[in-house]
Order: sequence, then structure tokens, then C-alpha cells
Amino acid sequence: MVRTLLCLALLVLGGFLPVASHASPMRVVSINLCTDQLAMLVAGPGQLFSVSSLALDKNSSVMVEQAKNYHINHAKAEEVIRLKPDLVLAGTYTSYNTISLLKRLGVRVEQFAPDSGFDTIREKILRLGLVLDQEDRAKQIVHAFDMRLSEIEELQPRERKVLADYEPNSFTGGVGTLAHSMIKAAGFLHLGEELGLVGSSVKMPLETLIRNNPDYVMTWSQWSGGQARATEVLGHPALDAWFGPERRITVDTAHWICGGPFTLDAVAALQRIYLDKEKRR
Amino acid sequence: MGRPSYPVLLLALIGLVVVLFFLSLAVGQVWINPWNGLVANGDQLAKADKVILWEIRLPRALLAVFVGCILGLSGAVLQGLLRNPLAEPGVLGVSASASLGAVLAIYSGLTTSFAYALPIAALIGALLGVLLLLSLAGRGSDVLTMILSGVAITSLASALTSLALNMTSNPFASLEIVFWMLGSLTDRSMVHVQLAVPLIAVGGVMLLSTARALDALSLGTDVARSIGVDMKRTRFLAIMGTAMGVGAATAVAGAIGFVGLIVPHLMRPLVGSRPSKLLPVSALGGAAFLITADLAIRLMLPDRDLKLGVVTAIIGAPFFLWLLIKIRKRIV
Amino acid sequence: MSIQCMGVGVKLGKRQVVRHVTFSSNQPELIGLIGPNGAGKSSLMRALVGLVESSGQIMFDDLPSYEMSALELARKVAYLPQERVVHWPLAVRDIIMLGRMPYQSGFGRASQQDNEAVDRAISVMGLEALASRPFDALSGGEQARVLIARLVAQEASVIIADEPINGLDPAHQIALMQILKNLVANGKTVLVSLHDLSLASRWCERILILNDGVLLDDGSAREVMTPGRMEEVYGVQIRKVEAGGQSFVVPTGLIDTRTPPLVPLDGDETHGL
Repeated sequence: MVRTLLCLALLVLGGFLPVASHASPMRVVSINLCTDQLAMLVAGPGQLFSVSSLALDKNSSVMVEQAKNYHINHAKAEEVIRLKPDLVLAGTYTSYNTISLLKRLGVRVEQFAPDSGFDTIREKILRLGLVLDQEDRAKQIVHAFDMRLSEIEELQPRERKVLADYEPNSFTGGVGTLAHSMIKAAGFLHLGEELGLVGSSVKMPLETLIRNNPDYVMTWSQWSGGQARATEVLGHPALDAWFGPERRITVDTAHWICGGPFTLDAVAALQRIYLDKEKRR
Repeated sequence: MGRPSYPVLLLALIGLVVVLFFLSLAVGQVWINPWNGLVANGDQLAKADKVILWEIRLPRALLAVFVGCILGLSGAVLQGLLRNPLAEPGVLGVSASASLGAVLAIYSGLTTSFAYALPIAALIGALLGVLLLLSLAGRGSDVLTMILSGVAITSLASALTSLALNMTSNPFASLEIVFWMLGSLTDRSMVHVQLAVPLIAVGGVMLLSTARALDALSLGTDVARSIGVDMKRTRFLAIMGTAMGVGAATAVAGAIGFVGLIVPHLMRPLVGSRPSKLLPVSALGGAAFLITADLAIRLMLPDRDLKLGVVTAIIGAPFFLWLLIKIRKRIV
Repeated sequence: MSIQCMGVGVKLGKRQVVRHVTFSSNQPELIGLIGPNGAGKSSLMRALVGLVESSGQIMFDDLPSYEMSALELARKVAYLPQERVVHWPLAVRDIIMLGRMPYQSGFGRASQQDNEAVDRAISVMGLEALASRPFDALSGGEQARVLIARLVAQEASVIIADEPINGLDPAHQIALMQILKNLVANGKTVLVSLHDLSLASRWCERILILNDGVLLDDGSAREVMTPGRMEEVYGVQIRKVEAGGQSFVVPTGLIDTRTPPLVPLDGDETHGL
């Protein structure tokens, strides 16, 4: 069903594209962190030419080493055009102006929505396989992903504890987010879901968090990019006073931004911390 | 005359601030009885309330009082010093330049090694802002030149703040730009109180000590000097006091505009326009105004991250325009 | 109640606006300071009160002014600037009380003495009915009286007033000159700058003529306000008029050399017809 829809969408898009969509692209440029990482996994040898500069930032990318093998771009239309790509991979939130300019200049652009759960990870990998003409490879990756996920799910503890995902600027998330899928897979109940929250970046004042009193609070690791006012709330005395170190979990931010096979590394790591902390209680 | 006597007015304002202060402790996501919460030791929920009150709502309420005080007071002093009814730290660009100082201190990492670098950097920013303003629109220049200079300084400082934030690899830059330009007291902690209050207090004392000189200045600089006012000292106290107080306030709460404009104007008729009497009531009025604005945010849109400066500007900007029209009529 | 001014000079920027002015007064008297616009009258007065830097020596009651603190100086000499401005609508009594500032310290609570001095100033100026009115609700003449009351409340022995009658109607002008005269009768030395030659000649027992920063004459109106001098300084013709036992100097017209030419300008000719 999904695939038919995708094919349909591709056909519709194809009408605008000068480059034939059935030929396998050989000079692919990705200008979005999430497509960067997936493309590096799905693309065949020599197919992917350039990834965005964010793929080199260890605060957001989990594939910094691999990214060093590619030409680096800064997601600007002028720059991308000079690379003479036959396919540009972008996010749906990539600047509208950049995308429409590239399209007007006759470049084939494929946009991918941000990850909102494990389903979108699978869909994106398969669609990427389709546009890169690497369908078998994509299917293999998805298969391995599913196998590993079921292994993790088997290790989930019986008793479910509530975990709140607390982000800089007092944001939290609800259902329909990648973080929600990850937290649930590790074996927690998700505070946002329990409270009926939907989507990412929901504001939750600190006092609401304390009132709801989840068993665990998960925060992102500090940004090494320097001091920021936004992260101050994660060091608020009230947070430390109420949630002792035994109830705090810090995770590596880079794994929580984009979905991919590596997402399960983060889920497994979170689950290990969880089981470890429960044992010590 | 229908005017309340001065002591009665002071007492009434103090009473109002105290009531609002406790209301500010009680109101939030849930209603908490401040008295029970501050002293009680009971079940789990009572303990949570205690942490919420002591660590979250108390610092917020305290900062609203002190920041409001210093904004109202500095507005009254600047209006008296410049004899310009539109003078105010926000309008004159002092708040924006204080923001710039604070931003530079935070993102250069200076604050990690020395916490007080934050208010001090904001102080220096504010001071440079005032000095730039006075050099652009020095003594005796007209109302409009001063306001335009303030607009220019605000634009420049805001642009540099954005630039500084965009230069860092800070993924929250756009959110933080909004904070520094519109201000907020959400989820502040006692750490911020400790950082800001000492400097606000010192700045406040400096500003209050200009009271009598400001009275004399009602008759112009020449007369003030001829009856023994030391203008250099007065100018120094007013400028340093403003820089210190508004700098420290901005360092922890962001730039909050218009408080220093509205409050002195509302208070002026109640004290027969005397600048010396206007200062204490403007400080108290500023505190009451800011707590009320902060309460409004929590009551009207509790789920949204509404900025404090949005509320003060929605009330303040039309007020500013009304004043401008009034002044223009008087000049014509 | 003495003022001594020895070789006083004032420089504004690079311009020497007052040069070596010397005069003194050791008794209560009304001294009129006259001279054309830009002669340096205001600068000289501001220098006397210490508002601008000056060379030479200024002494009040035989004490050099540079040895006095601002407050001490304020108890010796009171100053009324040219513009009658009060920036906030203060109550009349509050404005007059500002004259007591040199006598108050700390938080500026008004003492019994201060209140009495203000009451006296109010009654001298006949302001009883206006005492609690805001300044901006008064007429121009009333405002001028309030500001002089502030001067009176300061109780300094020397009073310096820069064009106090400017912009007032004739009745108020005369009333104000009478008030200054009364202050002299109460033992004050009053130095007042004036543009109205007839009022100056009628009310001032002593006239100082300042022109281009230089003190040209110092003497009674009869002695110094001669047609020749007036012609030289102001470029006007005057007549001396005797009326009711008083003598007045009345300007009657411009002297010919100063009359602006009534010839069309060059540019206009080419456009004409």
C-alpha cells in the first residue's frame, strides 16, 4: 500500500523532472542530516557524491567518520547546482526557497519527512532504495532492523516504569515522535503519552514535570557546541532536588535526532541503563 | 484635593505588591497554598509542592519583584534626569545593549568560569548603551532625537545579539534570540536570584539617591546647579545605577520593555509630579506591574511559552504612541 | 551683600565672549545690565553664578567664589535663567521650596525655617491663592512670579536675573520691576539684564553697558545712556523723555547707516519682467 502510494507520488513528481526517474542516479547530493546518514548506508559505491556539513558535527551525526569520505556541502542552492547532481536528497523542512530554486533549475529533488517513529524509518529506507535503485540493499537493512528490534523488545522488563523525556528550553514530546518509539521499545511507559501529548516540542514547565513525578527523567547530553541559555533548565536546582541521580538518565543527543539502523544502538543503550538502574533499586 | 497622602500611597502599594507576590506563589499549573507549601512536611505530593514553591515559584516571584522595581525606578530616574517623559531603559536601548553584554558573556563561556560575569557583562553592555545614547543625543536635545537614538541603539544591539547567537553552534539560537529580546521569568532558579539581586539592590540605592537632584532639575540644569546640585555626581549615579540595575535584571530575565515608561506615568499624578516622591512609588508600581504581567501569562496561556515582554509591549506600545501624540500636540 | 568682579573673562569654545569685566557693588542696589544681543550678558551672569568657567576673580561678601562649595555659593547668590521652564506640572509651593535646597541636607525634609521662608516668599509675591496649583495651570505672568518667589525663598544676598521681564505684558513688566526694587529695599543687591531701555533707565539706579564682551560704561542711567553711546552700541536713535518727575530713554528709530538696503538682490533682477 505504502509502496504503491510512493510510486504514485514519484510518478506525479516525475512529470516535472527532466531527468528520467528510472535510470539509477550516479551523482547524488544530500543536503539534510537525516538523508545524509541513510544515503551513506543505502547508496551503492560511487553513487553518493556529497553530504551536508551537519553530518560532520558529532553533536548531531552518528556517522562522522563515514561522512569524511564525501564532499561536504552547506545546503545552498548555488553550491549544490555546481556539483551537477542528478539527484538531490532533502528534508521536507529544508528551506522552501532552496528546494524550489533547485527544481526550477531542473534538478531532481526527493524530499523526506522527519522521522516520527520506527515506521517512517522503514518507509524512508525503502523509498531511498527505490530512488537510488538499490532496492535489495534497502530491504536487507530493514530486515536486519526488524530482527534487532524484536531482540530488544524481548529484553523489556515486565514492570513498566514511566520515563519523561525532558529537553532544553523545557520541551518534551508526545506520541508520534521518534523518541516516543525509542523509549517505548526500551520498555518504558512514556510520560508524554500518559498525559495525552502529541508531537514534538511540547512545552512542559518544570513544575508540571515535578508534579507528574515520572520514575525517570531522560535528558540529552550537553552540547559541546558551547554554553546555551536553553540548556540552563536541565541544571535547575529544582530538577536536581526532586530527581536524584538514580532517577536521571542522560543519552547521547546525536542518536535521537535522525532515525536509522543506528537508532537501535541508542534504544539498546537506554535499555541497558534502565535494567541496570532497576537492579540497583 | 483628591490625592492620597504620600505615606498612605506607599503603604497601599506595598500591600499590593505583597498580595501579588503571594498570589504569584500560589498560581501555576496547579493552585498551591503558599503557606502550607513553604512550611509543610507531609506526603509525597506535599513534598513535590514544597520543591515547586521553594525552587521554582519563589525565585520567579522574587525576580518579578526586583526586576519590576528596578525597571520602574530607572524609568522614573531617566525621565527626571533627561526631563523627557518618553525616557525608559527599553525605549532608550539600555535593555537591548544589556542583552548583548549578557549574550556575549554566556556564549563566550565566560560565565562557566565566573558566574558573576553574566550580570557584570550585562552591566557593561548597558553602560555602553547609555553612554552611546548620551553622545548621540546629549543634554538639551529634543525628545525625538533621543527616541530615535534609542531606536538605533536597540536595532544595533539586537542585530549584534542575533549575530553572536548565530555564530555559536547553538541549535537553539532562534529561540534564544526571542528570549533576549522579549524577556521571560519562566523556570528561573535561586541561582539567578543570587546573581541579580545584589547588583539590582546597589543600582537601586544609587538611583534613589538622585531623588533631590531630580527635583531641582525640574527647573532646568542651570537652576539645579545654581542651588547647589552636583550635576556630575547626579549624572554618574543615574547612569551607573541604571546600568547596574537594568543590566543585572536583563542578565537573568531578558529585555523587558515599557515597564519604566508606563509606571512612572501612572504614578506621577498621585505624587503631584515631584520626581523625588515619584521614585519609590515607581519602584513599587513596577514590581506590581511586572508580577501582574507574569501572572497574566500563567493564567491566560499556561501551555504556551508566552514571553513577558510580549505582554508589557502589548500594553506599553499603545501607551507610548498615546504619549507621543500628546507631546506633539503640546509642542505644536 | 557685596559682589566684586575683577577682570572676569569667559571663553566659549574658542570665542572670548566676555573680556576683562570689572565692577563691584557694596550696597543694596538695582543694577541693570544692558547691551545688544550677543554682547555677553548671559555669559557674564552665568559666570558670576559659577555655571561657566571664567578667568579673573569673583567675590561675594569678600570671599572668592572658587573657595566656596556649591551649597555655600548658593546661599550667597541666587540665579534666575532667561527661560521660564518647569519640566513637570509641580505645585507652586513645591517649586518655591526648591529655593530652600541650599539649606537642606540628606533627605531634604523641610525644616520650620524652610517653611517660614517659603511662606514669606509666597506672601511677598502675593501667591497665597495659587500655592497648591500646578505650574502649568498658571498664566505667563503668574509663572514668572512663582519663579521669582523661588529666588526670594533662597534668601541669598545677591540676586542675578537674566531678562526676567521678557515676554510679559506691560503691567506684569512694571510689577516685576517693582518687586525687584522691593528686594533691594530689603537689602539685596540685584543684577538684572534688560532689553527694554525705557524700563532700565526708569528703574535701575545703576547701569552697566556691555558690548562685544567689554564693559563700556558703569554709572547712572543719566550718565551712561547717552544718545552717542546708544547709537554706537545698539545702532538706534534715542530720546530722553521726562514724565512725572522720572526720566526715560526711548528708542525712536534706526540710524541711517544701519538701515538695510532696499535694493533688489542681483538674482532677482534677472528674473524680473
